[in-house]
Amino acid sequence: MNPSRLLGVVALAACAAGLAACATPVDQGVLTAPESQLRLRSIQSRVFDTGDRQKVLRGVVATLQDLEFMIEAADPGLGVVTARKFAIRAGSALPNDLMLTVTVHPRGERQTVVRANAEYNRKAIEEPAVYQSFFNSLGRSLFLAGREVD
Amino acid sequence: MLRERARAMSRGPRRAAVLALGLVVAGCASNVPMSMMQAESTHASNRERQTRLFRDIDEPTLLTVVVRTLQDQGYQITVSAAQLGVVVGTKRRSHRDVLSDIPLLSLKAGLTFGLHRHASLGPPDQFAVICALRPSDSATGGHAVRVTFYQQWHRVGPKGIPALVAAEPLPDAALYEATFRLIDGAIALERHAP
Repeated sequence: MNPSRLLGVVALAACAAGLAACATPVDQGVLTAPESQLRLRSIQSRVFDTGDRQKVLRGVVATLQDLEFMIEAADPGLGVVTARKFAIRAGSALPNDLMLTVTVHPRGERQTVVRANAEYNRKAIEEPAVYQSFFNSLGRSLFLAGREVD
Repeated sequence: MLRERARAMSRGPRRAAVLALGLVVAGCASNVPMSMMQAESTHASNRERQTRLFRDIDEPTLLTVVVRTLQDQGYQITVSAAQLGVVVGTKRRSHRDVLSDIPLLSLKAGLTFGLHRHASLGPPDQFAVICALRPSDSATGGHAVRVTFYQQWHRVGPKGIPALVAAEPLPDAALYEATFRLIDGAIALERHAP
């Protein structure tokens, strides 16, 4: 093979390999980085000193209803409640959309962990104050104070 | 000397402007809806209006009565979790009802120069109801039933499937009074059923 032709083929192959490496992975955003996961889990979770999971789940429903969320799904077996709320703004065609999934699971016999993850206009909320506000309301409903998960 | 003083004086407003700009940028950056997650003062009165205590009836029977009442009112049950004491139902509004709302809504939109909250959404096309039962904390026992009605708006998506785009609770006290009267009536029927 002509050396200049060979060089051309090699250059073309290198270009193709480079492009393949630069291509955006299709699964971008499907999974979250582990360190981000840990931080989020910490701000989204609280431990309550009660082993009564049903009571906590009912407290979650009552809190969501208090905050004017609509319950979209509830699975007592799994301990999952999903709810949604809109804020209608004057002059705007699309209201703000807040979605919340709350899970309740036991930790030992005397504690229950509640985790909430919220999305605002289809974007995950990472501000601790938003979750703190929800857990404060839940605590009042349960007559219990939630603590951060160790 | 004068020039230095003038320079020093011009620095003050400049700093204030930079600080103000920084605050504006910080304010814009945070789009978290704190008010949407906080209990407002109106929520306590809403809770009172939407809640009624029922005594001398067990929870499964009360839940059955609530479901029956919703069915009588034409609601489709979309979520039911008996262990949690939760039932959710929806009821589509007829085209005639939706159309009949348009003149009043148009008038409101006109009078407020399009700033009425529902002007851009149009009339609601569906109602939803959430009923949640909770054992009463009082010594006398019984169950508290909380009912919340919502009006909802849907838009047809690209694949022709309607998607929920807005909803808000209905605050009308008379509506809740009427609902609890219906539940009372259904309980009486249940008790006298053969």
